[in-house]
Amino acid sequence: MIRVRGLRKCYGSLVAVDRLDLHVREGELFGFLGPNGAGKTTTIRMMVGILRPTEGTVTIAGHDLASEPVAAKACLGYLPDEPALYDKLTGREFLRLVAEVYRLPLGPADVRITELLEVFDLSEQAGDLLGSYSHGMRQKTALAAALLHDPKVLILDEPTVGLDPKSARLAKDILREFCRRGGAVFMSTHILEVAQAMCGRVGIIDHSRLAAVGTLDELRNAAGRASLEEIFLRVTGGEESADAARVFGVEAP
Amino acid sequence: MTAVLRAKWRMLLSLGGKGRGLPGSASIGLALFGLALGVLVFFLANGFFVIVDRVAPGSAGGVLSAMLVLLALVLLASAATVAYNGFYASSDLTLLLSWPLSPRQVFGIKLVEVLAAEAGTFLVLGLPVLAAYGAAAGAPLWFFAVLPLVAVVFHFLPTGLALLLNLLAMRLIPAHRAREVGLALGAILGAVVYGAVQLAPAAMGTASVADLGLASSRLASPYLPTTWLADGVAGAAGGHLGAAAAGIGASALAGGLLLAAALALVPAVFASGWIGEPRRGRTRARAGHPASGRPARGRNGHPIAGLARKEVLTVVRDAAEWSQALYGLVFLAVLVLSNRLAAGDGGSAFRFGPVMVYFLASFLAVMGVGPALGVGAVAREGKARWFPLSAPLTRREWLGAKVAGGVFLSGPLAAIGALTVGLAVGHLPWHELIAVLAASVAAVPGGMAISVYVGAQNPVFDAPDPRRRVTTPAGMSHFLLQALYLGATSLLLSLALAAARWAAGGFGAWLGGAGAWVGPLVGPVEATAVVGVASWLVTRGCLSGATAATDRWE
Repeated sequence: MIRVRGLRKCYGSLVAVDRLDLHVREGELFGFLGPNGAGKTTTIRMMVGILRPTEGTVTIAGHDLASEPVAAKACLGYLPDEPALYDKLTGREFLRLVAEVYRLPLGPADVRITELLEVFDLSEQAGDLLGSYSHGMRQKTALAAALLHDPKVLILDEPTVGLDPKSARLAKDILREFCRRGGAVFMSTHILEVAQAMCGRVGIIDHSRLAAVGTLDELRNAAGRASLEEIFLRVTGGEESADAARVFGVEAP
Repeated sequence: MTAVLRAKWRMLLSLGGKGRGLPGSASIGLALFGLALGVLVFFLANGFFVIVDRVAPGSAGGVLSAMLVLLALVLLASAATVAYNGFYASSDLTLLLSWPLSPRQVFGIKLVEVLAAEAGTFLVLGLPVLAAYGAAAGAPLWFFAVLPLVAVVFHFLPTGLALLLNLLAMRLIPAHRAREVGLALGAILGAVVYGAVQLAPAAMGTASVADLGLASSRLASPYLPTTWLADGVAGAAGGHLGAAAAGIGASALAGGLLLAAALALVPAVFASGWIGEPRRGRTRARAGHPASGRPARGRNGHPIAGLARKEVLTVVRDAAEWSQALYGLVFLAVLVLSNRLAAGDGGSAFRFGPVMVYFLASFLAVMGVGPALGVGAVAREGKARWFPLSAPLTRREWLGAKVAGGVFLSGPLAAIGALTVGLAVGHLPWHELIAVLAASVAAVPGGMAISVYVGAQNPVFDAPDPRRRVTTPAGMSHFLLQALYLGATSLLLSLALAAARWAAGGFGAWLGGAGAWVGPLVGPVEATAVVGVASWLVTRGCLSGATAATDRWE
């Protein structure tokens, strides 16, 4: 459903993402992990068409993002890391705008908007300007927007950040159901527990390169470690922090 | 409730003072200033009424009535502002609502605040005028004793109306949009006052006192409560107790009814969510709306239409956006037009031809609002630009929607500009007026596309101020490109009109009698076609350039 081949992004001499190859299948929830500045968000922005890759291709549901951008984007829903929305639109107006931009039939779209607002507990604030929303409410509105057109692929950048426990649980349930129905989810997260609990496969990016990819069992076998956190620290060199932690009398994991 | 009012009174008295509960020097100074101003108003008004009575005997009552109407309008504007601040923008409202006070008690506190604010205005402006009228008319002493009652009654009218308007606004306008509505009303009021100031001297220059009396009688409609009050005051000044009681009583009844209506609305306002959140918690049930349970049939969404609507809503709801456009428009309008309008004769020495009228109208529309609406349009996306960039639409479509949104906002301005300049300064015949109107509107897409093109070259997405969304050189290049565009289209328009005149002659000969009707229509059609094609070509080119520029943003 998502295929990334040789993806590379350079800013002058700086290589932000270096020859990334990935494949996410139907019904799969893929976790994308990495330390800060490793290239996660840059990768995602290339996968949704915000940034143009220096090299490589991205294919969404069989459509090449470079040669068929409109068709490819019509198949995906995207949640950015920072849910900046149009502050002078109300929540319902924003979702209506999304429906128009995705060329949905407006009558059924209105019904779906109402359903999504109810699911995300936003009905009462639907007539308020987005500028008055909290971070969590914006996150939920952006997630509702990503789901509105019933996409085949979801690409989510830190989807549970800023959500209260109830909303985070709701988001996880929705993603599981989305995959159960055959959709593909590509999700970056810092919360390793979330990745461990939800993702069928994970990829770990470090210093712009994909350092490890596979199911949790495959990674455990390869690294000889028990938890995803231990695997992550081993792959990204985080074990070095143990020495620093000992200076403060703390036993690092 | 009385404790709250006492506390507010103490706060008012201690304005500027350091002592607890003692009047500060600022308060004393303010009171002395008010007293001096009241005395000045009394003597000026007294002299005025004496002159009016000598020059046009019997017209002083009408003048008083007209003055009361104007005073009521001043108090209405003042009361509406104070009530607006009290109900929408008051910092203590949340605190008051959290205290064990009923909605009516909170409303009562706000009502007293409005009345207190009004009292000062009336003491300085209203009471001296009424006293001056009595003094000029040789009123008996009891007239002056009745004046405080008149003052109280007079307060009912504008205060009741202002409260009613505010409460109705609270039912209709959500709080987060109240500021924009208030600013829009303020802008309209400012424009009206500006127009009056510009036009009044020309009209007043030849007016006699008799004209003034006639104008006053027009203002003093017998259906206005202020006229009843003026009749009551005139009756009291003449020593007629019955006429005084009838006039003042009728006016008090009207004002009392307005206040009662405002009070009746209070529970509804509280029930629907105080400070103007009437839509919260309920959904609108209208045909086709999901709340009605009947899905609307119909069309698929279209990205350009949706995004253009978003542009319009964003600009209209953001005072920082449209105030910039308004500022530019007013600045240019004042620069170009005001002197001619103030001259009163429509600038007979400078009769503008149709091409000049087109240039001015398009310049007003394109340069007045273009820098704010068009040049800043791309950077207006700010951090939310992830949405159009990741959505299934081309960048050209996205930028085209920005041009469309700008055209929707500035197109009517071009039309109004063409009509105003064409009629007031150009004195154009109808067929030339139509030609200029159509050409001005047709030129707007090209002008807006130039603005969007300039704004797309190097947008400053993080600029909080709409004026800083592009660099200064970009602003300069915008001005030059627009001047070039308007100059070129003006030239094309003048050629088209010349050709139309030539063609109209041919039509006239060919069509005989019908040519007299068909001939003048050639000009508008040709002008629209020529400018429209130029505008279309410029729009295409600018959209291509702007689309190419988006690749450089990374």
